Parts: sequence; structure tokens; C-alpha cells
Amino acid sequence: MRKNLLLVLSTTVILIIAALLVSNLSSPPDPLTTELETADYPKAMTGLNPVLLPKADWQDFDGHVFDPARFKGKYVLINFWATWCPPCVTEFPELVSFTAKHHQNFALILVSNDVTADKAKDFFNKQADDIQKYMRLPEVIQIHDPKGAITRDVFQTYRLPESYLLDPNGQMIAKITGSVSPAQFDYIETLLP
Amino acid sequence: MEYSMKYNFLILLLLTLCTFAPVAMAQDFRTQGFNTQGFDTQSRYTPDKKHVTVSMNADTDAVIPGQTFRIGFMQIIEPDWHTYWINPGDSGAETQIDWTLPDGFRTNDIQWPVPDRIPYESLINFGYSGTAYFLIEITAPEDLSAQEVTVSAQMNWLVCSDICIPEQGRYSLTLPVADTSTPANQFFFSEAEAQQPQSVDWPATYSLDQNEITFTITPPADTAELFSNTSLAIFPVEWGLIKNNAPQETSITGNQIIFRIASGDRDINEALETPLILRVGQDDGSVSGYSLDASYTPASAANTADNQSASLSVNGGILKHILFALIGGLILNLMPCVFPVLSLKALGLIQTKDKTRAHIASHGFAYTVGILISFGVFAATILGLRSVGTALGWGFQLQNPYNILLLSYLMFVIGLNLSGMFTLSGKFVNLGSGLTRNTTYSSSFFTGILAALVATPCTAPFMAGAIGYAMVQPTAQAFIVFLSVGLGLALPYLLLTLIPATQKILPRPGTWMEHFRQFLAFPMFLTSAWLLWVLGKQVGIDAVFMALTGMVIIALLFWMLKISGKFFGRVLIVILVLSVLASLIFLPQSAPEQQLDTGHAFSTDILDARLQEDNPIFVNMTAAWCITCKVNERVALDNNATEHLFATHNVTMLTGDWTNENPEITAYLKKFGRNGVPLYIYYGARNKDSGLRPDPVILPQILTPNLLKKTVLNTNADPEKL
Repeated sequence: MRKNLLLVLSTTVILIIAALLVSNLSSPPDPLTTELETADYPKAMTGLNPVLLPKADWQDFDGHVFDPARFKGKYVLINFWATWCPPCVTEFPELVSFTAKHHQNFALILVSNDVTADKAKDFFNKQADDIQKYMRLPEVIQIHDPKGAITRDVFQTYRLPESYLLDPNGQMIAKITGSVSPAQFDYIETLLP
Repeated sequence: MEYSMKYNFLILLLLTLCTFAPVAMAQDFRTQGFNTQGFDTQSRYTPDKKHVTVSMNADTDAVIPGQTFRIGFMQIIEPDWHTYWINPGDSGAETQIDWTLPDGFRTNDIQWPVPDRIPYESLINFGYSGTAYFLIEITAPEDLSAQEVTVSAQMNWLVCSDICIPEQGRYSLTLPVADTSTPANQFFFSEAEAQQPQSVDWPATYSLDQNEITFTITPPADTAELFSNTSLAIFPVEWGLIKNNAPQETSITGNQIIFRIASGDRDINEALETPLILRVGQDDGSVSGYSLDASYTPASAANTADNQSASLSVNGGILKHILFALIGGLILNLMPCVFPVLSLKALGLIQTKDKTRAHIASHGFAYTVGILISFGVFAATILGLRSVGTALGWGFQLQNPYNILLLSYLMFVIGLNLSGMFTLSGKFVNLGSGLTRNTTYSSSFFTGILAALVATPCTAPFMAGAIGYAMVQPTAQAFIVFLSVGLGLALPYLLLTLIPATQKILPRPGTWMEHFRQFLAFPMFLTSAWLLWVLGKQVGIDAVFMALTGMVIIALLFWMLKISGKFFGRVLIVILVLSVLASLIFLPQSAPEQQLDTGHAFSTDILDARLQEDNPIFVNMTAAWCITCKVNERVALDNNATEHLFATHNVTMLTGDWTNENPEITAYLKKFGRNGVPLYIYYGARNKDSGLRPDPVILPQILTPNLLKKTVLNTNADPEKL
């Protein structure tokens, strides 16, 4: 019997040792979600001398090229945003609803600075049903700018959210730093026919 | 008794040897790594003024070789602005540190200060205001010849108020290298420590009931009350468990702190455990925190019937998995390593003189008990380690080259014995005849243990799913599943002994039995050969040569035992033990280059990158020691039809090799409720309209080309064309 006991003991020991030899696990941290750089501009809605929209490589989340000239004849808001930016996230449905209300004369180009497309898509899927419906309007365009090629390199935008207002000729007429405020929405409404 | 005792001794010998394995295990397989993904560092823009001012300090005035010191970063955050915790909550992004260190220096993860809930309109984010200290441990290498060392870091942080700005800075410190040091910046570090959560091992669990997640934290006896007049909040490190902006309903019941919070939108199976911070705010505004690990526990059986059925349906039910475990155990009997053992037991039955029913049935029970005890020990080991936070997978026993070597020796010795290499009347027993003559119940018991032991290299179909399920269950359920595998393994012999009618199917005894017994040596040799191949994959060809030499020496010593006298025999046993021991200690560790024949190597980063693209992805999780995997690869993956299928549908195959322990793969398996290989996951192509991928498909553990074809064609189906 003593040997039997020994056997059971040593079986236990081997199993425990085998298990101990396996190393601990640690899950790697999440990949980075941001890829912008620092800046400090005064925050306001600034009127600009009308200037044509600079050329940029506008691509949606599926890599389809988009030409902003499609919205000639409408006022357009280009909004730079990211899911990691709380004010952008809260502003997002407001911008979409505003566009849906005025889509005859107004269009919205949302430029996401999220590094991974999935983050943005998860965010889209979490929107309320009516917002998701409005997002399918042809006047709402989702641009993916993971490397900041448009946001930083072309528009020199280093802080989010930031928006540019285009007139029906495709010229930039104003810049809005931070979320679009109710007063600024009112102002845009006065411009629309 | 004579036979069983001696044969026990043989097993005992090998098992005892195993206990010496750690002597040789000084080497740590873990790799120390710090995630160095950084922001775009090609800075072309210099900020005029940052919203966060950062300073960096060390807690020592000199670096001592081999010693660990701490670096602290202080973020002074402008009023109304915030930086973010590792889980930023609804939005935001965590602060990141990217190190540039001299050779041999290692860093640990950031030790985060206790976070706060930061509301922004309807959102709740987790992060910091005012001043936040971040601590990082750095370990200097033993051999440090430099006079001084410079550690530098790039810190990237997102700072938000009603706008967000990703800011960054580069910081460095130069410290002399010395034999002694004195603490430095003590005020800075005492402030930093005051912000750190206290790490505690209080039991913490969470369960999900419909849309509510309940966290239960049990502080040590009589301390829960101390929290009653404080404002409490919890912060899970895993995102998506709680609805961040939902109120946290806190109650203190008996000795438990209970949080009821609306659940987040993440599948609970993706986050079955999480570290969390318990934040305690006092009336006077002071804040402290505790850091603990919580794990998911399904609503317990004591709960209402509703809860029970809910928790059963979540994972397909424990009954289903018990059944699968049984079937898996049954199939184990057919594995080349186990089959001979069972066959010999059956042969023994034919030869047994005492054919009374009770006598035979008792053998069946003894055998079953032996198996169940072994599986119980297995389960206790795995579950015990789970409870202290070490995640193991089934097959972990094969991720260790020492175990592989010992198992391969064990198979070899059994093979030698079966083939009649040593049938001496002296110190060693003829294992085969010991098994077949079936003299005592204890021999049946030890045959059970042997069967369980030789079964360890194998995973049968159905088993992996059941064990994966067991790993995420509370201990009692997990135990039942493990024991079911054992019961399945014991079942064929148990039935033979319990139901006399079944014994009629056994052939009559005769000389064929001796030949059959000898024949059974070959499956054992085959198993041994396969284990050597696995060993080669793990630690290289040198180790295989050494193992083979070891086998020759074992064979030689057994032969010498056969022809030697009693005293000399004892000396030989000592030599045998020493030589096996030596082979363990000197096992070469030249890990070979991992070669993957098909597809690309799996890593979380590569998978994430591929997932961002549009094409379908097939993830193949395999290991050299996984026979099922190898069969699937032969039958279903490495053939023209499948290659053609994958090529025409642009399917990228990512192959993860779990032959050696790999935390990324273990984590990935866990995501799918699995705990072992094989695992096959198919991610369908991105839908062009919605821009989304369909949910990943978990394929069965037995693949066929047809099944793959169906999977690829169905999930690729373009809705417009249907």
C-alpha cells in the first residue's frame, strides 16, 4: 500500500510540475487608436476668404474613391472625427440628423481618423436606427483617413473635431474648431435656400 | 501481488524521474516584451503649447546591474482637460509609452493610477484630471559594462476637453551604473504610490443576467462595512463588459460588495476574466483603489430555474459537453498509445481463471477508479492553476519538451516489454504478462493509471470542445467534464467486465495471444517515434539524437539486467535512473526555426491587419503533437481542391503553431471558448454594401474538403446574386 500511495503522490507531482512549467499568459495591449499630432489653434468658427477645396485622396472604408465635386450646388460640411474623440462621438448623430433634414441643399463628408476601420464600423452599428438610416443617404459620405493623409497633411488639422463649410461652388468659406454649436447650426441654416 | 508490485515499481521509477524535470527547467520560456506600437513619430508639427506637462523621474540615483528600479511619469493636466486609462470607456485613447532602452534592459507594463469616471455629455470615459502619475519597472541586465545608461521614452497621450488633441513628448534620463544606490525623488514616488491601486487577491466574480452584469467582490472578513460610507465605482480593464455610462448600483450585503450595472455590448465569452479597479472615494475627497482579478461565473445552479436554463443555453449545455467528453474518452481507446493497454486488459479477461462475475466486475471497477483518479488529478492541476490565474490549455502537457521526452521513454519501455525484451523474473516484471494475468485488483487499478498516462498525448475528436467548455465553467462542472472523459476511456473495459454477455465476443485463448501481445509493441514504438518527432519540432534535431541515444542506453541496460545477477541488477537500475536524468538535464535547447508549410504564420497583429482588408481569412490553429490537426491538414487542407478553392476565393490562411506555448494563440483559442487545438475559424469576405464582415464561423474539428467548400461558398455568398 505504501507504494501505491507513493505512486498516486508522484502522479500528482508530475502533473503539477508539468503544469507549472507552462508559462503565464499576458495579453498584449490593444493596438493604438490614434495617429495624429499636436496642435493648438484658437477655437472658433472662422470665416475664410473663399478658397477651392484642396486636392486630396478621398476614399471610403471600402477603398472606393470619392469626388467632392459630386456635391456641387449644395453646401457641404467636411467633419474630421474619430471614435476615440468624445466630442466627435457625441456630435456625430447631430451632424447626420441635420444633414437628413436639409439633404436637398446640404451634404456631409465625415472623415474618420480611426486607425482601424472596424472601430468606426462598430461605432456605426451602435447608432440608433434612424441615424443608421440617415447614414445611408447619398448626402452622407464616410471617408476613412487612417494615416491622416487628408486631415493632417492636406488640412493641417491636428485637433478633433474640426469642420470646414463649403459653399455650393465647392469653395471653403468657414472653419469650425470643436463641435458644431447650436448657434453655428442656426447660422448654416440661414445660408441654405 | 508480486507482479503488480514490480510493475508498479516500473511506473514509479518513470514518474519519479519526471519530478526531476524542473531541475533542468531553469530556463524560462516566457518572452519579455513591451508593445512598441507607437504613434506616427515622424513629427512634422511642433505644438506651441501642450495641455499636458510631463516630467520623468527615477526612484534611484544609480542603476545596479540585475536590479529593478522604477521610472515615474507625472502628467500635469490643464484644468478641464483629461487623459485616459488603459480602458478609456466610451471614447478616448489610453496614454502610451514607447521605450528606447540600452541592450538587455526590460520594462514591465504601465502601472496605472486609479482612474475616475469622466462624463462628456452622454458619455462616460475613464481617465485622469489634474495630476496623474504612471509607474514603470525597469530591470537592468546582470552584465552591464557601461559607466552610465540612458533610458528614454516617447509618451503619446490623447488629451480632451471639448476638443481632442493627440500630444506627445520624448523624455530621457541618464543614470550612472554602480554597485549601490540610494533612493531618489522620494516625494515624487510617494505621491505616485498614493495614486496607485493596492493589489489584492479578494475573490471577485461577475455574472450576466439578461442585460445586467453583476460584480461580486468579497473583501476579507469584517471589512466590507468599511466601504459603506464611501462612493464606490468599478473599472474593468476589459472593454465592453459594462455599459460605461450606466449608473453603478452598489450594495454591501454581508461581506460582499455587489455592483449591478447594465451590461456592455461585448460577447461575454470574449472577456471571461478581467482585472478591475475598485475605486473608493471618501467624503473628504480622498481617493484610494484596489486592483483585483475578476472572472466570469455563470449564474449559479442555486439561482432560479430561469437563470439555469439561460446559463445552460449559453454554451450549449453541460449535458451536451458531458456527452461529448464521454464520446471523446471512448475514442481515446482507439489511439495507438492507448489501444495496446486496453487490448491487454481484454486479453487478461480471456485468460482469467476465476470467471465469477463479481471478481471480474471488481477488476473493471478497479481499472475505472484508476483512470478516474488520474483524470481527477489532471483536472485538479489544471483548475487549480486556473484559480491562481495561470491559463493552461489541454495539451499543455505536450508543450513542454521534458514531458515529451519522458512520455516517449515511457512508450518505448512499454514497447520493449510487450515485445518480450525483458521478461525476467528478477527485479523487473513483464509488464505485458503482468497486465494480462490480471492477478490482483491493484494491478487493474494501476493499469487504469497507466491508460490515463499514455492517453495524455492524445486528444480525440469531441474532447477538445468539451474541455474548452470545462475551462470556463465553475470548478464543479469542470471537474465533471474531465471525469467524463476518464469515464469514456474506462467504459469499454468496464462494460466488458460488467456485462458477461459482452465477453462472448472475445476470442478464445491460444498462442495467438502471445503474438498479438508482441504485435502491440509496435503501436507503442510508433507513438514513441511520433513523440520524438514532436521533440524535434520543439527543441531541434540534437535533442532527438540525444533522446534516441537515451533509448539505446535504456535498451542496453534492460538487456544487461536480464543477464545479470541480483546485486548487479540494483547497480544497473541506479545507472538507468541516472542516465534518464542526465538526458533531461542535458536536453539541448536549440529551438528550430518554426517552419510552416502552408499559409502565413498567425499573430494577432497580422490577423487584425488582414481583417481590415476585404478578403476572407481562414485561421488554422495546429500543433505538431496534435494528431487530429495533422490528419485534417492531410485530408482537407493540403490538397489541390482546397488550394484551388482558397486561391479562387482569395482566402488567406493564417496558421498558428501551438507546438510550443504561445500566449497569443492561447488567448485566441479562449476567445472561441476553446482550450486546445485544432481550431478552425473562417472569416467571410467583407460585404460590399454594409462594409461589414459576417460573424466568424467556427468549423468542426474534423475537416473535409466538402465542408470547407460549403463554408467558403456560403459565407462568401453575395446577397445580390442570390
